[in-house]
Amino acid sequence: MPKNIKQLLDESIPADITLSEENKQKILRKANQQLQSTIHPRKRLFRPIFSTLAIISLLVILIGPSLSNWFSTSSSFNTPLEKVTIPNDDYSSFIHSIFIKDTNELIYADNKTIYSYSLTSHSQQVLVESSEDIDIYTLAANKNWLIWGEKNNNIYILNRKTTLQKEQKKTVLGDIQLQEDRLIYNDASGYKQINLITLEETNLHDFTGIGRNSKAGLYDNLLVIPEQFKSNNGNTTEFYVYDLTTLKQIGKYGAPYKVAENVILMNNKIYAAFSNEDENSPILGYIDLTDGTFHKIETPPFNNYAVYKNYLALSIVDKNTDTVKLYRLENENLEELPTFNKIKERLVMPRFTDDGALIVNGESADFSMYIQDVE
Amino acid sequence: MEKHERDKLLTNAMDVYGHYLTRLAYALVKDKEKAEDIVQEVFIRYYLHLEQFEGRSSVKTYLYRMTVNECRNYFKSWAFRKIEVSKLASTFLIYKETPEEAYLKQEDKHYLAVLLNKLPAKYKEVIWLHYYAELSVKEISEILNCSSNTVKTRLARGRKKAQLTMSEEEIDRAKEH
Repeated sequence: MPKNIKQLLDESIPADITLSEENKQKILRKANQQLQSTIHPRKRLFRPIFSTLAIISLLVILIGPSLSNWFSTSSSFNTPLEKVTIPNDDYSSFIHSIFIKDTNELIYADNKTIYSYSLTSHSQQVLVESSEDIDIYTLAANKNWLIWGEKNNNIYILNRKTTLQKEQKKTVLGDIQLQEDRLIYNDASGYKQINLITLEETNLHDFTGIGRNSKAGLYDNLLVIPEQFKSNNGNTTEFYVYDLTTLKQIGKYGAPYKVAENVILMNNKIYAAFSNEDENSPILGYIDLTDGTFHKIETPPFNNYAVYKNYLALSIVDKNTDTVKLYRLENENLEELPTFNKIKERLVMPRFTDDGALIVNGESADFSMYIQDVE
Repeated sequence: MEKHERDKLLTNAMDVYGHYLTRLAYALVKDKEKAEDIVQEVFIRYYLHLEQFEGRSSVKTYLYRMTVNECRNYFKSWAFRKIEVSKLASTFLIYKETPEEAYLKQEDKHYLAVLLNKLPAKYKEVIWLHYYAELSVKEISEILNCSSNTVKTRLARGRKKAQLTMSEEEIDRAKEH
């Protein structure tokens, strides 16, 4: 009898039984969702208290013209900070909402429905009703297109102008991004681009590293894909830059950090929250694409960030929690802006649109969102 | 604990233990989808209770314990009984091999798995944990919440029932743990 029992036992199990990268991503997503619902328990637990509040809120709704208020701040932006409160939906739907400045709407999804909420008319419209569960991590939208994935691994492409809908069978890992008429996504092997007009698919990048800690960064016609590699001196991160017009790789840059999270391409720079295993808090840094140099930006301890031109939003750590503050970035120095100073609730998930609108989610009972256009 | 720390710890745990836990769960429940569900449940629970873990060894023990417990729960569940009843009913109509049985019969080298499959769960668990997951008797006793002597007895009986023979070196190594 062969003596390697472990090998025999291993061979008795089909080779495809493993925890795939796709399943790891799914577990991470579900774990995040469950943690959020633990942090924000359903209001029905406090029904007696909130029923009174609900009556008062209803009166306010009847009296007031709208649930949305315009806030004036002492900041110098052309457009004031806008508070958006969407009734009858919950935090998990809004946390991944997409703001489209061209159409002044928020796109978000719950289990089987995708909605648009107009900030002009303050009304909600159902865009898609599906029989399958919608994967909110594969939701992308702009003024012309709406793309979403369903749990059956189907990707749906809706032309919002013609209402023509197409279906593709894809195993998407969660990084799905729209840029005009292009769809960028990744599967287990690498990144691909689909021309949404012709549905022609092009292979952009094959993975060669051991993993990724961030989605790709996309701005204008450039895409940057991070990959982690093992080396003798510890793990490093490589960034591959592609020109989406020519579909050619135009650059490759390295950083001596194992983890590069929340990669953002902006100002001809690759920004990321960099960290190694032995470091407590990430540092914010960028690689200048013009000369490949790495620069560190001095910041207070932060958990999350977003950057657009010379504006930086940071989730600043304060004791056991954090909240978003907005800064102006001048020569790597930060000047705090008073934009969110009057807001008492915790703010999370800062994200900029391609055209300079900053969205953050609030954690008050009504799950309001705040939008500041910095252009 | 902050979100990015949690995510990092979960990702790391999945990278280190995910493959083995999925295969262990499959070895015990013989159902790919169920094995994936079990492992998903285990890692989500780990993520939600991360504050409880300080050392790497306790994480390992916890993950294996949760996986074994979830597999046990599955056998107690209505879903499993329903499958078993339908399997039993189908044998009265016409005997048809399950895909797993057909697979196991494909090659002789799987005879060990066939023998192990016929073992009562308590023997099957210790053999997979010891030989496949390479856990020590002490670790298995923590996972199964029983004494080291019980683990050793189950290992010995399980080996005998599965007609497992071992080299002298392997016996020595098992005793050392």
